[in-house]
Amino acid sequence: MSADPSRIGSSFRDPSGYLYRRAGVLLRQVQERYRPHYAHLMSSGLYAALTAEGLLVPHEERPLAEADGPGAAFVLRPELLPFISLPYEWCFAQRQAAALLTLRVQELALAHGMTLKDASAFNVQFRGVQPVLIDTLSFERYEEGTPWVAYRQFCQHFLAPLVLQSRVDARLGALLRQYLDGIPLDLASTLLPRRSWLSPAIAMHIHLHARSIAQHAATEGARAGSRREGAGGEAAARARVSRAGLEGVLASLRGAIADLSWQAGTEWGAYEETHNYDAAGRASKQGLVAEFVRAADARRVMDLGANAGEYSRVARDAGATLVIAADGDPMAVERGFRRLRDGGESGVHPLLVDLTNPAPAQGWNHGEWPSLAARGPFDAVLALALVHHLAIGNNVPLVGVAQMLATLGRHVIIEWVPKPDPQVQRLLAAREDIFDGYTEAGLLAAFAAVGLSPVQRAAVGTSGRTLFRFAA
Amino acid sequence: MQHPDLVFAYLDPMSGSLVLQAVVAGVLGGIVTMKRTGLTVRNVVAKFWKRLKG
Repeated sequence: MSADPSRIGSSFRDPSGYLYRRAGVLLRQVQERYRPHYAHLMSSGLYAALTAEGLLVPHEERPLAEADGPGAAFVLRPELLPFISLPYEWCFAQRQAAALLTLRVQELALAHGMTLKDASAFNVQFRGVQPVLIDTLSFERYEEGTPWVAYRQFCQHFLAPLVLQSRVDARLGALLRQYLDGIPLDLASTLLPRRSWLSPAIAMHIHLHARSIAQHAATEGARAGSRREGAGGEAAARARVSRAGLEGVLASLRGAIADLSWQAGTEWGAYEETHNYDAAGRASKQGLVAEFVRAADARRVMDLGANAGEYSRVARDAGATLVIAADGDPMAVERGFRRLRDGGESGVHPLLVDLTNPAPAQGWNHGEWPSLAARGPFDAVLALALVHHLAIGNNVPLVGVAQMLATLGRHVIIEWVPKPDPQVQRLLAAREDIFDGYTEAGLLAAFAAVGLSPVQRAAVGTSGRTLFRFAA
Repeated sequence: MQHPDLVFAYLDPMSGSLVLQAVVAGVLGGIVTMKRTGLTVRNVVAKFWKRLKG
């Protein structure tokens, strides 16, 4: 791995090429060894088919003079996505969409004489609610009879978390933050209930798959220990998979994933949306949020505590080109994603974020996947009816809240919920009020301490709540 | 792998995974082939019964 600071931290495993920045522009160097595969991708019609369907990010070829290091065959400039989300920040339906995208891409690849050589969830990003493959170098020429080398990775990155989320608990998606190469299949197999064996797809792709991996690892370990030749897995080397067989495996995975639903057995309708405003109050709040977003001239907006994204849409309609609708409740994010997808809406990207423990810098040498803060700052951050949850629900001092918000956005738009408000009283109902500093004066002092002043303020209807916009 | 110059798995697919895939593909590939030739498990069984009875 190069110590070159221009290289993108996660781009080192595949010898086919890597991403780097040159004068602030993201480029991809394709190595000489990958030339035949890249040539086939472009000449077979696969690239055209994938980009026409919006399944792969398009790129343009750049002069070789822009290469970063030795061995370059091509230099590509991929279309830049406005935001990178990480698989542990996706809700169930996002992961399901990313999985089905990967299978669709593999299907099209096979139809053009190619196959996916990896199936990492990190290779998928979202444009709004539309998944897209971002790794142009994931394809290699398909050789009839060879197995799908990315099968295990696909099962670990997609099938296992989806099955666990659907059959056990939606919160198990959080395991992906620990297991960056997907949930180990033996762990998934252990966590699943016995009755999951009754599903042929789960039995084959998870339970038996995990056993086969463990069994062969043990045999190979024993052979290697006794210094016998052939430890590389003779059976594996003989493994042949016909084209029809491979298509059968893909169809089975697709069917299993498409059939999975969010926490089977949970009543969707039981989740009620709570509103703290009557119709007039909501209209007033919507109007003010739109006005404040316009005044900030915000294009990229982070909506924290967005719930299902009601005000993310308001921000988008007020001129934002990208709004991240972040919430810590998987069901709220799920509902927001489905609503946007079913309505064919764009411009809003739902994201699962626990603000008390947002995504840290992850992976090898802390350099593969960026923290949430490192993906900012945004033009504006919305924190509507959020501060009391952090300050009282999580005991964060107001200056800590101000610090976090100022890191994420150049403008901070806050709906301040004062202590007498029923929502704050609800948080205080079963505990001692140790929050003497939770006052409007305390809020203003906290923002002053991080260098931001209130540049706009308005009362939200007759609720007693106030909307503030802070800026430097 | 047959053509090391063409196919290079940079990830370890794991032997046990490849072996399982070959077995699973054998079963599922049979179903794919049956579907393509217009056969279903039900009409294969039906034909078998007819033959037995006839």
